Amino acid sequence: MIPNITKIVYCTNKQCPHRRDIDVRTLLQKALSQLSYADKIELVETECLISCQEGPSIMFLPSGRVAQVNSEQDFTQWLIANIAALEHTPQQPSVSLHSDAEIPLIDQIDFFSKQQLVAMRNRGHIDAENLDEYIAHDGYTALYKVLTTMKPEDVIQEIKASGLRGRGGAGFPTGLKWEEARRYNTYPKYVICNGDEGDPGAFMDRSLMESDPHSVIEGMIICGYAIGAQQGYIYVRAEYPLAVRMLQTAIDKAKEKNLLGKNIMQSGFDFNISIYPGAGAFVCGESTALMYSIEGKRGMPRIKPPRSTESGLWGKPTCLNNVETFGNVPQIIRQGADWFKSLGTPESTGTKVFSLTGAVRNIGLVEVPMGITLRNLIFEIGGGIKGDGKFKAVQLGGPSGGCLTEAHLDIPVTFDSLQTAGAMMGSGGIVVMDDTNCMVDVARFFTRFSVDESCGKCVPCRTGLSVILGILEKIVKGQGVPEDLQELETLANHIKNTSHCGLGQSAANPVLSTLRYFRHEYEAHIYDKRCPALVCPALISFEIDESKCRRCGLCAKACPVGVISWKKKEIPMIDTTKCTRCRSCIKACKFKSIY
Amino acid sequence: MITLKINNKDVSVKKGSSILDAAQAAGVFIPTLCHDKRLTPYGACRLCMVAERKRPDRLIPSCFTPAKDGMDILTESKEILQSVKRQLQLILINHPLDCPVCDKAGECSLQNLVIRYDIKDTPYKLEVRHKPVDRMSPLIERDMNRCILCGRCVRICGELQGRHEIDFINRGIKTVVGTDDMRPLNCDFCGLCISTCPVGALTDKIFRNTTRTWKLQKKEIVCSHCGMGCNLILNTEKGKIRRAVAPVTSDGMLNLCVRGRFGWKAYEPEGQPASPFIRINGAERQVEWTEAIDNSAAQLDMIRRQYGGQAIAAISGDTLTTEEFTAYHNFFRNTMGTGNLGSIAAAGYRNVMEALISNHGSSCKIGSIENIENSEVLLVVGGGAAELHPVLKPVINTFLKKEGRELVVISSWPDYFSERATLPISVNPEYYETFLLTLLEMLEGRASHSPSDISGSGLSTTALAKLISMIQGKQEITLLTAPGLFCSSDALGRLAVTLHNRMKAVIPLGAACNSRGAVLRAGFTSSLPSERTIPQSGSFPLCFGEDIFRKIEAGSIRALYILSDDPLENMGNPEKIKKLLGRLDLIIHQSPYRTSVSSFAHIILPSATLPEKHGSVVDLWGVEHVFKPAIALRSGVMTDLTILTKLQNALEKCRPGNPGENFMAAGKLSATASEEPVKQFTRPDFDKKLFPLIMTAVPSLYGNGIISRQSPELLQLKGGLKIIMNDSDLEKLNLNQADVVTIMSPFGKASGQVEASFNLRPGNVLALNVTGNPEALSLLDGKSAVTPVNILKTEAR
Repeated sequence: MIPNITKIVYCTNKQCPHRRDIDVRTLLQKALSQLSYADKIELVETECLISCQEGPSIMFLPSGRVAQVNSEQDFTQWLIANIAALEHTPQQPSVSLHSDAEIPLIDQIDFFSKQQLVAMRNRGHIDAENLDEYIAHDGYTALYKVLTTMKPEDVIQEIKASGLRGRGGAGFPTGLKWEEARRYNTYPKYVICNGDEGDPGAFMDRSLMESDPHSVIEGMIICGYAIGAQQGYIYVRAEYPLAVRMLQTAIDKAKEKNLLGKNIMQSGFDFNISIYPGAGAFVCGESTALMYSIEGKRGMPRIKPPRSTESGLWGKPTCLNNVETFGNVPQIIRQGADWFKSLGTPESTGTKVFSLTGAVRNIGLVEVPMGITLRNLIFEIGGGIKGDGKFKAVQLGGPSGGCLTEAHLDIPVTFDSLQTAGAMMGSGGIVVMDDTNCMVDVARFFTRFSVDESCGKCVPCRTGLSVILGILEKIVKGQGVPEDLQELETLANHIKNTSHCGLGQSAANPVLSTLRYFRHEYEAHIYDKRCPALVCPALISFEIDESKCRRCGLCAKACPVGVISWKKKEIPMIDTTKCTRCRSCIKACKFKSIY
Repeated sequence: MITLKINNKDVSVKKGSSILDAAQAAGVFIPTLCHDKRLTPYGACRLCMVAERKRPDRLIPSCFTPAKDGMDILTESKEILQSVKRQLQLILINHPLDCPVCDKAGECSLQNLVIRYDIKDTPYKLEVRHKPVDRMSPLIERDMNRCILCGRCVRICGELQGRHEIDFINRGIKTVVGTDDMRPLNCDFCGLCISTCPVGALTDKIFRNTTRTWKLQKKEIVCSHCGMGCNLILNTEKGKIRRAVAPVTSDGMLNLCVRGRFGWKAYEPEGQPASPFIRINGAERQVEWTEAIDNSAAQLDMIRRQYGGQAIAAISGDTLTTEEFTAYHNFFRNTMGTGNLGSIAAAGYRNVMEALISNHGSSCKIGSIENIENSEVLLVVGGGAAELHPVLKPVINTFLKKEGRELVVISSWPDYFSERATLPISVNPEYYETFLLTLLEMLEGRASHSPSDISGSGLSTTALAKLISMIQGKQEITLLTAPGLFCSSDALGRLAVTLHNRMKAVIPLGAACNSRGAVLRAGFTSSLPSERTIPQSGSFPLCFGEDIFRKIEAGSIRALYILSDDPLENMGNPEKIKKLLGRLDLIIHQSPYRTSVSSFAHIILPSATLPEKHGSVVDLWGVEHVFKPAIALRSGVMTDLTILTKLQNALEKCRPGNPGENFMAAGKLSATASEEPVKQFTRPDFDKKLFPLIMTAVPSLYGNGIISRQSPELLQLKGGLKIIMNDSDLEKLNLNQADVVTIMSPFGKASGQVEASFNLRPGNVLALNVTGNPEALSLLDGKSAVTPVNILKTEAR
């Protein structure tokens, strides 16, 4: 009766900024029961369908059409139309809900078709709380293969051969780490999954933990088998309650099926996983601080050596990997190192999930092969700059990364090339900025974040960053002096060279990279006392350029405090004595006549 | 060994050393602020940056980076100097320049580095936040504005002292070091934090603004609060003590405890007698020294003539120097002819030492501190090792840091050691001595050990089985014996003798200042020539304070010579002791301090404190400390050596040529009651309904002896009698923390404050600060530190 529709998958992410409080499930149920299809089509809840720009989405399976839900329209009508369309022309695009314009099939949308899903392959396809669905998508076959046909050394060899590098940011070869952890004969050993994803704007680990928790668990069990550990911990931010719930459910279900616990799959191998929710410190994403946190101590990085693989959690050999790294492991085992190596570049193999945000049209999680250019990422997958803005910079790697310019758009995205350019892969946050972003302000934002999140252990990070923040704040207030630039540069380099942990060593990157590529903006702030992007309120004069003004009066309408007086066909007047410098008028003016 | 180059200088260090260690071995200076040899490296100050010659731009923190063979290290390149300067400038932003009012000025590491690196100003500006200053805590002032967050205090408190009283609070630039809720300190007050603070954030409150550090003279002496032999540097100004600090040692072990660091006011006592007194018909009269000496000599001479030398007994508090003990031995043994030389404060120590030496001779394996560091297993018999000797806390924590170490503690109460033990064996207090004897029999193979033997002891059979198998095993074990307060049993000594051959070493604890010297020079009662012939059958003729008072009760002792001790303050059942003291013909009290027994003494001879003397002291590890006077002798006071020599001369003048042996033979007093000590462990059964709880008097880490009670600071920390109870017992009795209660035993009654403890067994009660408190001492029967008690609430707080 209903050809080509067996399931409708809908997204449920409560933290999605585009949710608009729509109860998709109720809407779908209502519509389906009106059509009396209620018992014929299965409704499947999934965390995120990754077409985030428009709001909650549904996807028809098996066709893979995606559409956005809008409760204001007659949902049933639309659904009928869509089903009918499917019935008659299964290969035709479906009908969009809001504009009646046609929307293409999922694999005809650049945002989706240019992606290559490895870690995220099950997103939107399976119900994360249903273990059977994961198994049906080849879940746990890698574990079965490992436990029945492979020796631990073989597993490590396979991972080494795949060239998989840590997805947490530093890009340490995963196979080497496992090999090292295996080498020490101290027991017990531990496997830790680092789910303390703290970079502002990054949410790929959360998405993976919520939409495909079993792949992470499977990766951890394989790691445990390879290094000889029997206990795993997943350290996940307490700010991710859904991820915690999904992981717990997954662990419980895996235990029921003897995929965790004693004698897994009758192989004689025991492995258990516990969840440890973090308490909200960014520095706990640093591996040694994370282990201190699990031990119940203050989350502060400890000295190395010894490495964690020798003496980590509770002083025992510990292998810590990122969520996404573990997510890749079952795929590598199942499809082989050669397959994985065929993706990406020789030094950075496989794919990487990025969270693409900022001034691009399509924001969301994208998984692409390593080595893709930034231009492809931003302009093809991301759909280019939103509105009529102009690309200015792209910030990679969150507060630890740096800003790159248009000149870098054609460099391939790999661990090493980004490092050379002054940014870093980080955990994979990409913030695209257009010409409404002030780079000094961007540097100030990230420095502020690092100042707040510094653990306070070592001098350069604790005090040095605060001094940098002080200088940046002085500059954005228009009180900067020419010597400040020199001071910023030396101090930032000092922090980079002498800080204790990764947080401190990379915290100056935003300042250093903006100084390197956008020095003219700093100079404009210091010498000309103006902010070219019209962001820093203290450096905007709030006057109207009469040559540009078209006398439309939009600014007067936008002013929330009513200090812009305007009469038709006249140039508005801003009473700067009463102006609160909220910048509403600047945003409202279409001709950029306020400076 | 690995060899590397530091500034072109070849140096060899052992594997595992850091680059900093290598540089120090090469004599190359590397600036540090957060580094302390006693602690694991931390890497917070980032001053110790060095570089390899092949990559001079990559800075390496030297304090924790391991030195590798063939490294070529530079410590003074332009980059490194720049980095050090910048780091110091960053530190200075957050450090107030209040050196004129800071006690640390002159010995401040930050100040020294700033001058060394010629920092004149800091180009960086930052709004300095006001941080908390703790002026409420006793003895230690914490000014967080001066703190540079090197974390040394936090680490030393946790890693070495095991106290974890302070930790970092907040993060980033807002980080401070503090207690929970910023309450005042309530800790051991060991002062290790002060000793390690590189700046003036943690300062000694007694020293606060008394003088400037560069005006101080430094005099090294040995601490006389216990027998650990900690070296102490008395800082004096114009002959007055200003403070006490620990000397800088290479290994950093044996730091100071609260008594050593803050208890120095006992060395220059105020309001103490500065001339001898004689009591005639109850009235005290101040006399000249010659009169006092002649009077003492005449009376002692009379008693030894009338009743024989054995009618004279002496009790020493073991604070004499070794030279003085020689004179003491000579005077009482040879001149007076008595063997009744007892000890109260260090009786438990002397018991074990005596047992060991008389059974295994002078070659017995008395251990040193290295034995603790190098043993695989420490077996501690008795609770309160770290309370008797608080400096053992860092020692034991360092011991436990290494993997695979075992700490076995047999204790009747949850003391510091048993809380950290890898194999705690806790025994019910009433059963403790019986348990030691049962264990002895088990080890000697005299008793088959079945679990039923130890029923009622409250201990787990698996723990006991583990202990036995450990003793029968092959691991290197060092035995530590910790005697209880009021020790009057020889069980510990017998156990030590039995275990001696199996052990790597035996370390008897509980020594007072020069107990080991006393044992070496003055020997034991049993080594008296006449008594040596008496066959000994397993038990040792001990001379506990109790034995002396039994002899007084029996009438065979007529005169008591007390040196720097006080039976009324350090023994149970003071009422009985008072009565017995009343029976004596002569009591001479020779002490730097006037204590309870002074009012019973017929003659009071004020003697010098240890820092006023010169001589030597042997600590319990066997190390001899030779020292010169650190402070001038108070006028009117004589050293014990002078007094004993003068007395000796005076007595020789009385009847020249009469050696003591003559008096020993001369008419022994016939005993009216049994002199024989009753060695049994059954105690009368008291009504469990009337006295449902079992109290153990336990030592306090703030000191239990005469000397510590002379320090107002230690007295204040101790407070009055503290009754520690299990939470559930408190609840049952409807009591709250810090309630004042009346505690009653079959022997007496006292009032104290209750404190809760969750790891104490229900039904057990601990009493702290019993010594020196007559009311509390009256709870005990005089034989044991354990008694059944009842507790009633007296008033609400």
